[in-house]
Amino acid sequence: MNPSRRGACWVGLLVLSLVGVAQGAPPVSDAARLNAAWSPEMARTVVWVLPPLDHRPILGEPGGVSPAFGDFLKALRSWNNLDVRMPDRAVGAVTGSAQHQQALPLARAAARRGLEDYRQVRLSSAIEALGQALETFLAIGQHWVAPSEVARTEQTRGLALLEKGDEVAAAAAFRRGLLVEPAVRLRAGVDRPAAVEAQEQARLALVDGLPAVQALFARRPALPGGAVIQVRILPDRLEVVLHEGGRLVVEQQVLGMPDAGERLAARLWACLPLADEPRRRSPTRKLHLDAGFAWFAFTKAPTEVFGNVGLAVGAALDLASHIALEARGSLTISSRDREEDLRADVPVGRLSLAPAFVADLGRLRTSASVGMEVALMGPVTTTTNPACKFFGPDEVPARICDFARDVDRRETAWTVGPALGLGASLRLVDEIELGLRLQAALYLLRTEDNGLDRPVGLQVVLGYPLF
Amino acid sequence: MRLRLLMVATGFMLSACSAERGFSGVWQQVCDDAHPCDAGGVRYALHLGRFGDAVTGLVVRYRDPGPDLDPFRKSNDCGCFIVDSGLARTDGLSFRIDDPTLPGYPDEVGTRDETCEPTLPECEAWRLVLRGDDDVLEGTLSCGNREFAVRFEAVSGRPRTTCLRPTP
Repeated sequence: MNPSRRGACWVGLLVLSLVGVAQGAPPVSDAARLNAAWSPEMARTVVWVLPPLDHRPILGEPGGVSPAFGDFLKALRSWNNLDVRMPDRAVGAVTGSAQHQQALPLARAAARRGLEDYRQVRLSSAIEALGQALETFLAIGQHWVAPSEVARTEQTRGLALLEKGDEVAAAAAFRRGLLVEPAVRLRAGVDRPAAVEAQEQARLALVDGLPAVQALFARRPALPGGAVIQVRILPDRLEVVLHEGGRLVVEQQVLGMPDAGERLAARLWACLPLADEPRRRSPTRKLHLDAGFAWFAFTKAPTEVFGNVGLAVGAALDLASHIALEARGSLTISSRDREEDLRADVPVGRLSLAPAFVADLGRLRTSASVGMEVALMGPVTTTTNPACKFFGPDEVPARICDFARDVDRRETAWTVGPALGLGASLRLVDEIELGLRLQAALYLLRTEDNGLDRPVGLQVVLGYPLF
Repeated sequence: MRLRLLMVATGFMLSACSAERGFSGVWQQVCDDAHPCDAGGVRYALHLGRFGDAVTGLVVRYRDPGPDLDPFRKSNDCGCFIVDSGLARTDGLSFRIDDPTLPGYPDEVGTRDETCEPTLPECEAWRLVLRGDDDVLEGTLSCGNREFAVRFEAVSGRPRTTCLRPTP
């Protein structure tokens, strides 16, 4: 074998061995790979799970804890791409909604009125009031929060209908009550025998034909965004309705096998989107614009401190998480110092450019920046001689005020130096922000020494994140 | 609450650096029983400017034409003096003027033309010490142990800033 053929042989063996190693590796499922590689930056799919509807007592079976339902929840929560909101949290979301809080007192008042009317044998009024209460209860999801309360209201309505002689409507009311909470029953020996019998007949009718789960859970409950899962527990199976993005998916799982809950969860997981819209951890690439009022004073000046008041504009471009580039400008005019040594208004234009550290704390946005500032200052005219302040040239003898000697005038100056900024803005309404910003600078380079340096001040601005 | 605090702080900062102008303006001498116009048959008007703790301006002298007549007319103007060494406090001020017995208006070299000569004893410099508020100043015009009570009231108008004789 010549050397070239021997080399080719070695390369071939190496390729074959690598292929063999690759084929010998244990297979990894797509789901497992997705689960392992899940990035925390991606938004997980929100899944609300409502309290299960246990219909076993309707069929004469005992209710209570369902191990299969527990396994189902556990399996759902094991998927990294799902943000499973458990039943207690779903109930909290229902009760926390403004609609629920506003409508519940009205519904309860109607229910109390209906009950009182029933006791006073004002049957028509009772039926109407209880019907109104039930309509509101169902609209706001009270049957998920307090199923017994809703079932009792339905039961009372059934009693009123029965006493009024409308046996068909009474049977329907009893059926609805049992479907909401099977444990709410009339009691033999306490309640009217005819009513107890009517309710039992209603239960038997349900035993003969329970409504389909998709009919029971046809409406998506009023919960925040995300998928919603509603479960019915029956003696031999779990039935599930999934509301997701306008779709309604119905699944059921026979409980004969030990991993029934996991199987059902896996089938639902396959129906759910992998992830929600990518979450913006922080408002990156946002351009914030603001404008308002500026005030500052030069802490180093040839006179006593005087204020400078004017307009300010600013822009901050978010470059990355917590990092922004800020540009700020202001145009101000000076006021006078206490002694009025400053004899003419000094216009000042300032422009700064600085990288900033930014932190978003809910409605509050804070920033700290260090950068460079360029300032343009108008002429600075000063005197400490009171007569030179009061009299004009040629109005007083030179011994009183010599304007050439006693009045100092410095020409327009450009200055450059480092600048420090600390800011905080509070989101008021929608995207409008009220901002307060402290600024200081130190001028190291200047074209004219006018004695003004180390400006310290603040800006009060209204801001808006443009995009 | 936060906004209110911010406004208060801003107002404080703006006011803390503002100019101190109390007592600035025009003041005219008035006569009453407690302050008779016996300082030589003339009246004085103060044209003052205050700049922090310093006071400057002019004292203009007028012939007193007698009761019920306005002495502070240009035709009665008969002398002008520049305030010297003026100091202001919270409740008053003091300054010095050249001898008001001098005849009239100073020129650049200090000579004065003939106008009116009040019947006051001669004195190198007279001192005005006044206390009061934004409306009334009361005090003394003195030289050595000679002292006259004076009272001034604020009037509207822009302070005069030159001793050049005004055109009638």
